[in-house]
Amino acid sequence: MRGVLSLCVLRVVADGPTYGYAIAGRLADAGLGSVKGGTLYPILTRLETDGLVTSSWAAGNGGPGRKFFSLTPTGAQALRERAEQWHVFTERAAGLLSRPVVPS
Amino acid sequence: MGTLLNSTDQAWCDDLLLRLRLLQVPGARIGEVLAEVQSHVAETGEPPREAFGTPREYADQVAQALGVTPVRGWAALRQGLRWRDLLLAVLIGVAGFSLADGLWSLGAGAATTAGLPTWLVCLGAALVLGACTARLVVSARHDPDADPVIDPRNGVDMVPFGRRQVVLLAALPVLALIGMAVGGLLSR
Repeated sequence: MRGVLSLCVLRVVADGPTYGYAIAGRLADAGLGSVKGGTLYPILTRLETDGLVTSSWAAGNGGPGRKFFSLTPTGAQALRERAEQWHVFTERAAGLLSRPVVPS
Repeated sequence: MGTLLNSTDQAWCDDLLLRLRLLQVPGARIGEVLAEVQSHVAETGEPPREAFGTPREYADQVAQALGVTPVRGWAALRQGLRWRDLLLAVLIGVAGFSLADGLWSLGAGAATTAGLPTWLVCLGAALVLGACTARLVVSARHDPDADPVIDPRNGVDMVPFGRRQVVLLAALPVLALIGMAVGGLLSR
């Protein structure tokens, strides 16, 4: 499931520069449950080291600042490919699961 | 960096920093991770332990995400040790012992220590000890291999080796050495 979560994070970042807490909020709104910081930031770190997203710090008002993530062209391509793969996989899985059980 | 977090949260961050260092995560990346934690904690009000787990678990997760292979135990210890550091440790030990011995003799009024004039032993040992301390401070501040933990938001070293650290480094040994001279005086 970690791979799918990474794909979902990539999809959220595709909507424009956003930061950790807001990403967690979007995932929760999408019904994916509350994703802890301990899970979310390593995913973002990996996406960044893979060159799929870039990050930059912006000063917060009085707070410790926010790290904004944005999609790179490589990230956009990876998102298309992985989303496609995920659709194919879920369709096949759904096809298998929806077959009536026939005891042999 | 202490002003934004309470002492429990700060202790959690300090522990995380140490564990990331032990896993040999680059300093700049450690700065990123610490800044992310501070930002997340400020945003959510969640304690770091709740949001990120224990420092050990989180450090392992970060290292895994970065593809850093953890080096643990004996191998890590040997990698970090250099002959120069060992030599410095031995020098500090011998000079520290000699100075303590010399100061005791000075307090007790003995003219010679180990066959040498007491004042000469004290002076020599103090000079060596001073030089070793200077070398420690210089290497902590300017070592090209130091790989400092840099805050990505302002480029500042997050664990500076400032005047306070130097005072802490020197104060305890100096107090102990004064104690030796006093002990010698009392033994008269």
